[in-house]
Amino acid sequence: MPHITIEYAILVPVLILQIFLFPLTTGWLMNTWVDSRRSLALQEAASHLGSIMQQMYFSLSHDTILAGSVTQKPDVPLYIENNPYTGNATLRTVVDEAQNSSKILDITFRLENTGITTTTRVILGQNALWKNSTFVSNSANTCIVAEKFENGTILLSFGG
Amino acid sequence: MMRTIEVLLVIIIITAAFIISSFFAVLPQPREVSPLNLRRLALTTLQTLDRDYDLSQIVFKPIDDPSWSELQIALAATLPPNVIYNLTVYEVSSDGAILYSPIKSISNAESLGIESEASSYLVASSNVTFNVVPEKIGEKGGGGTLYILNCSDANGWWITGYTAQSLAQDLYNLLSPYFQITIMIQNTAQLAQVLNGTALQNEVLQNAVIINTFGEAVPIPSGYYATQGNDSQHASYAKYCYILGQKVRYFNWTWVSIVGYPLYYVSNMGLFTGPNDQNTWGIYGMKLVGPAGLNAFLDGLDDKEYGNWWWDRSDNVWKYDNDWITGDLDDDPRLASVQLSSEALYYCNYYGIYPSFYHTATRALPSWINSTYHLNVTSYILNTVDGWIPGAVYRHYSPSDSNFTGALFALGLTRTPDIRLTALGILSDYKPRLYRSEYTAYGTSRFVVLQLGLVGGI
Amino acid sequence: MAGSTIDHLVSVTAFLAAILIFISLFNQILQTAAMYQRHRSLAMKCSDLLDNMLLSPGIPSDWGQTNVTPTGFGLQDPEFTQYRLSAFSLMRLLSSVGAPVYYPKTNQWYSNVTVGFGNFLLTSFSEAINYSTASRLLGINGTYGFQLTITPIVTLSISEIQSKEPLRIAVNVTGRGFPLANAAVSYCFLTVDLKGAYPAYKTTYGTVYTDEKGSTLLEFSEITKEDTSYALIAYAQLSGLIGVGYHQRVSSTGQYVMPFVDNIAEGRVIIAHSWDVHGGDNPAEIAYNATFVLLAEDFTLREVPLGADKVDKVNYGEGQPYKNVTIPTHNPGILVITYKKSAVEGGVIMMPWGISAMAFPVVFGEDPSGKEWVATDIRQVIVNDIAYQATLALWSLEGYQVIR
Repeated sequence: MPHITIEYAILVPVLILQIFLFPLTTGWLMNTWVDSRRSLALQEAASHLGSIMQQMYFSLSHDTILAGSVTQKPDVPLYIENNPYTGNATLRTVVDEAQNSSKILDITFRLENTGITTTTRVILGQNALWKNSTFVSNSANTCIVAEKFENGTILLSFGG
Repeated sequence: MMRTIEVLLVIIIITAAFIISSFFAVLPQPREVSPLNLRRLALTTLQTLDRDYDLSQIVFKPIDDPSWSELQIALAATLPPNVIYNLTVYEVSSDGAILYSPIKSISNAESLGIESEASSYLVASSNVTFNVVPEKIGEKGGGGTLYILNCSDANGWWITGYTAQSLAQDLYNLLSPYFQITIMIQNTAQLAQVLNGTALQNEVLQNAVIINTFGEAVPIPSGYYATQGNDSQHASYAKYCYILGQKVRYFNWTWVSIVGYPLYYVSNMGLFTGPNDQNTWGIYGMKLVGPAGLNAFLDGLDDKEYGNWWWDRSDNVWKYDNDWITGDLDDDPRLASVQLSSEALYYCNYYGIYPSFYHTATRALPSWINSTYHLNVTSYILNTVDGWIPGAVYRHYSPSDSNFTGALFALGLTRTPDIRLTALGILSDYKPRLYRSEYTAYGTSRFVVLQLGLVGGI
Repeated sequence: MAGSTIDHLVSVTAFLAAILIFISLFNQILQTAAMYQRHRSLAMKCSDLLDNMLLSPGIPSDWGQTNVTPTGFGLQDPEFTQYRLSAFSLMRLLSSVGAPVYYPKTNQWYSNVTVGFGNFLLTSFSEAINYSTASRLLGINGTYGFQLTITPIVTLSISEIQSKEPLRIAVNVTGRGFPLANAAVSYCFLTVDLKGAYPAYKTTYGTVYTDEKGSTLLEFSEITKEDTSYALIAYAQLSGLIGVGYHQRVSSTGQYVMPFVDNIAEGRVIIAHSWDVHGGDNPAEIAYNATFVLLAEDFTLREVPLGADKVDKVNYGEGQPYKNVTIPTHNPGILVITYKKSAVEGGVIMMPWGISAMAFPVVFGEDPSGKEWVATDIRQVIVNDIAYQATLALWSLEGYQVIR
């Protein structure tokens, strides 16, 4: 019968397509939202950590501070949706056209088990130094360490 | 038909699911999403109110003192109208279980609601000593000694109205907080000891500052320095000034001349006892050196050879180098008054030393001495005028290296000296920091907590 | 049979359409939730950015008092810690509210912060830091837009009630929320004397207290003529809060002198004839007498000498050069210029050296109106002992995107 043919020719494939399409669409929507949420949370934590590091640097850089060390436990979450995150940084010098120089600390954070990364930049002065270290969010002793030496240089690092 | 009805049923079910999920998926209020950082606002409000220690003073007053209402007025004026606050002051005690006991509370609302944030601020009573502790010059290494010539066996000139000893005491009061150690050189014998490189009180001789409070005269020790320093061929003690310049270079001292023509006379009341041993103005115990003193000093500072004398036939006298090198800015009415430099004006406020803006410079040094004697001006105390430098710190450098080796701080002003300028000049050059320090003691601390909330809006 | 086929087709079509609609509706909810999270993150970024601006002096730390373009943006006073800002760093911010002023004799544009007639702060564009430079130095170029507003907490509104015999001036002192009652108001009253070849002024000082409404009235019996020019500078203080207010009465508003900040590092200020900037009728040569005053601890004004060029004449038009004065200090103060057009026409102009000397407000950045979502945060700050409130408005430049 022709109508039965139409029914089977059109509707069955549509039905089978729906079996695959609906979960795929739902998964895509939810993944997009979850990824977006995690990415935002990671950016927020990264930006806040960068801001803390810059404030620590400029506090120590003040002429009234001769030498000393400051440790700050940052108020960022231990986990982002049950995933810890880690951070690394590199320091580079920037010289502008007028020969005024400063340093930029590029900090890259990675959310474990997801592959989401984000980078934040912190502008520091010429006397800033960076000690290679890794920020582990779920470590019990995680902190930011800034140490000023008598020659005026300030060494920043992740602690814990 | 059935298919269509089934689809309609499906649509109804999904719509119901959407409505139910929308009911639970309530979006937060914009104020919750994007809140003010009330904690920081509270902290900065407390800091602003304590700008001049007003908050610190008020919280220690009796609870019925009218100052509390002033504090409430200031708090209300500082915060935006939609911010409600509760400021509570606690007594800090350590004698029992209760650490913080509330004393007084100021608020503009009965309750701050469910959501509020607070910041705390610890203040010390004004009964507690507040000190401004200056950074000690030399505490980071290298120097830190201040010598003030207070020789009882020498006389000064162009310090009329003062004695060298009174000037020395005033300088001691002004400057000793800024140095690791301040030593009054009590007589020329002690001066000789220092010139020989022997410490008087285990101080560090290197990099010291030596202030000559004797004006245009400089004390000369008897013995070696009087002998070696006497150029008998030219009947002058310019050789002593040359030796002084060498010592200044060797020990990297800063030699300070507080007024007039530096090193114009030498003085030792025990050595110069003759009737003609006076400066022709009635001050005895002195010998005239004249312009040769400064020229020889600069030669010694720059490690040049001593002895560039020449006979002036018209004046029938021996003269040294360029002879008279200072300028009398008083000759030109336009230049008569010299002014404090902008750097000095800035440090007036910082160190709280306020000499007059205007001065008369009759012994200003010429700027060409910088190139001739390898000097670098590190601080101008008074503005330069037409190539003349009325007051500055000149540091000597060797052409072969970048280190400074000796310095001269000369104030070429007319009498009488204003030692506030001397103090200001030294501090402007060394720039020691001032640190505020607080001492806390039992019963002298209070804890202020400012709690803030928001009303109105969405 | 055909009916069954149509039934199937209609139902499938309706079903697919309904599914698409619901997927987009659910997606809309998810997007809105994600956007709110982004807004939350914007609020935290706003707070962090404001602290970065206010708690860092910038690089180099004394950039406010020099001509260099900083390589790090910060407004903190390098002499202090915490939330104390540099009056000169704020002066170097290119104002976004006043219409820039062009001065043809220097061929330069000037950032304009003018508060009423006779109170100018015109800073050369070459000295000022613009918004795009600041964005780049803060590392938010292309990602966030901002507007930084720094306004004094205590406002003094001064108005003339009676013009002579005696002169009566009302002073109202208000805070951000409420009036400042029982505040001590210390004032400096300058009267301009036009008798000599160059104008001069004399000052009197006094202190009064505001009532419970934050108001007080000042009387000056020595003012007997309506055309006597004067300036009143008043300082109100209560419990650590200090505010500044000022008021002038001049007898020549058509022609006057205008100060332009030419070089902050060297303290050079150009004295220009107003006709060269604004035009006007009946221009004439103007004699002026400039002086610089610092605020002392007892709220009197301490004069700092300016040198021989403080008294001069300036004329208008081509071939008539502008004049200069040099301010010899980087302590904040007020440049007071009395000017005289004729024996009966003159006045007084004031310019703050350091934004806080006359409690000028600062608005720096773009206009936030019309932006989709703006987060704001507030801090109380101190600029050279004057209490200010710093507000940062921040918005994302990345639009409605949720997914990158």
